[in-house]
Amino acid sequence: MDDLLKRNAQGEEELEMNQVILSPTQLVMKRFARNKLAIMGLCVLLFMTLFCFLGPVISPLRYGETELFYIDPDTGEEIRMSEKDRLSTAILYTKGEMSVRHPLGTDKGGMDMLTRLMYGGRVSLLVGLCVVFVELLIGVTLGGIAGYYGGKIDMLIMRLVEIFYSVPFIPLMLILSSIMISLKISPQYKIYYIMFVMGVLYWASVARMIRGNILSLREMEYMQAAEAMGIRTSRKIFRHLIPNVMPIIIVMATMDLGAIILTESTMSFLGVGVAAPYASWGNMVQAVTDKTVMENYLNIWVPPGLCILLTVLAFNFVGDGLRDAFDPKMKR
Amino acid sequence: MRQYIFRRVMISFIVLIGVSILLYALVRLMPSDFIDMTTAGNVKMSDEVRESLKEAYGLDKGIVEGYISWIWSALHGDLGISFIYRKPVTEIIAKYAPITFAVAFIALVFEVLVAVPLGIAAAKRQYSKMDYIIVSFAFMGISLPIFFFAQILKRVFGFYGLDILPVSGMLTARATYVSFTFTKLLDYARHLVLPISCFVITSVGGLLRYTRTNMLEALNADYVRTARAKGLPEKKVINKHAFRNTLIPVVTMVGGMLPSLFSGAAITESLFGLDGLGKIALEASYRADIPYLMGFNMFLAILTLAGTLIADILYAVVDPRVKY
Repeated sequence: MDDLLKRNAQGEEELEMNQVILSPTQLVMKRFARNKLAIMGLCVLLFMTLFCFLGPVISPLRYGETELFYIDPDTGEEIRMSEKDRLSTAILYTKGEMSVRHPLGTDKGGMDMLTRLMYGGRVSLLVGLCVVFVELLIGVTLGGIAGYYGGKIDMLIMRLVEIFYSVPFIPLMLILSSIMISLKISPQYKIYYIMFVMGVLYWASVARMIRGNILSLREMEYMQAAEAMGIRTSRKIFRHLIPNVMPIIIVMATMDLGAIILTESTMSFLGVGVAAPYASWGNMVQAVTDKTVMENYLNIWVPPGLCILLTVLAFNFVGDGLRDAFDPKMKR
Repeated sequence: MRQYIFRRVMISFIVLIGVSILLYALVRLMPSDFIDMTTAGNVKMSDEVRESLKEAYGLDKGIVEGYISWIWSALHGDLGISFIYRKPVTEIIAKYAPITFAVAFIALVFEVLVAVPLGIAAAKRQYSKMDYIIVSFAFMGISLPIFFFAQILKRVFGFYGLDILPVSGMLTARATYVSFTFTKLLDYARHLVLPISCFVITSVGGLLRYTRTNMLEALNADYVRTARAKGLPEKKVINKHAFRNTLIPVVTMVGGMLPSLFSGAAITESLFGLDGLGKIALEASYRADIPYLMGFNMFLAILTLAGTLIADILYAVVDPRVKY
């Protein structure tokens, strides 16, 4: 009897737990948490962020990004760049084997692979974030204006979108890169210009998407109600329209992060993006163009490639999971 | 409909002018032009000769003047003469476009053959293990950096790995073929296996996911429930009722992709040494071959615009409910 009562009470408690009313945000989070692939993606992203930003600081090796390693030709003993008095007889420790001191070996220039992998990841992740920020800033503003006001402004902005949409990307980046070289922009700062240019070139698809959504939202009943109540335009936009396009913006931003990291690495591979001696995953894979590296030193070119793949894949999984979570009926 | 197409073409024309202005300005902003680059190491070259060469190549004009003369002859169908190849740009595009197109078209056929059945299989059992595997595979393809994947393919199947497939070029260098025979065709095929796999695997994901989403939507539609309710066999429901309605958006998308088949993928082409338009474009960008760059990029812009137009028209053709 006691047992039964206890179970009854437990059941009621559970029922109460289940009756907790969830806010839309909580609902989205709950649905998101159910998606195994998305959670896996999130974990990978978390790991990559820690690896790239904390890694160089907390790793016991603590090498610099462009630190060279030398080796004594007679004894085979490793010499670091700081030991200046011994450098005169030393030779560069290039294509070093994997060891405790260099878990992934050293690259063609005698730099530690693992350390460069961390610094290269910083570049990739930062480029992704900045480009997405720029493209959203331009794309959401212009797309929103075009969709909300329509008419001549819409016509003008959409033609601009089409122009940017039809400009072929890779040749354009190559041309821009050679312009940058002539302006003598140092390799260290080049990446900031590249971020800006990529953002400026990528806004077109964002604007198109936002415009389409605003157009359909404008016809919704609650917008008519807002109109009838005579509230201010700015309030209509910020209270009613923006919150409703937010899910699309978030999903698009996540997916674009992956796409941009992919593009940036392609640019760096072609020698247009981040330039030596600074590391980026793309220019690290470039070592593969050397036939001996391709054949014998898989530790030099495979890890950065895998890092790109994993990160982009993770962003795509998270973006897809978010899309499902926000609106199960939303078109993929 | 006709009026709609006419309006779209007119708008596209204006957009193209905009694109050409943007491109020309950028190309001319390139710091060292073709003459500077080719004569860079030549000590005998005096500044006077250089200037007269620039005049001959039309590089002495200002940006505005140069643009006007470019667009004037472009409107008359003359895209100028490529600096590197010393041939008319139109001739080069006409010569290499078929190769690019053939490779891309074969890849597209394979893509459709892989994407449509897999997309439907995934949608039929949503959230099953099968679905997860297929979707992960699709995402994997999208997320693969092409340059990295191409190198892996080369390493595994090429000379340093299994050594069963050639990794670059279109034909075996030592072999000579008198006429077009079966062995020559086989040689082409062997050389194209890796580049086409690279194309297909890296781009099949988009189409696959698109098919899956549309199939899911069709399977949730009322007419599918009706078909099931009246007792049709599941096979018929899927193949006749759901699948045919899925085809509408898929056909539209593939139709829109057709023009882009000419554009080629510069990176894949140069990594595998295929003589396509993309590879030449990459070379031209490095060497500031202005006429070719302008001609090719405008060609691409036209194709992009044509692609969206075709997709929109096809949408109305396959779905009679859509009206313009």
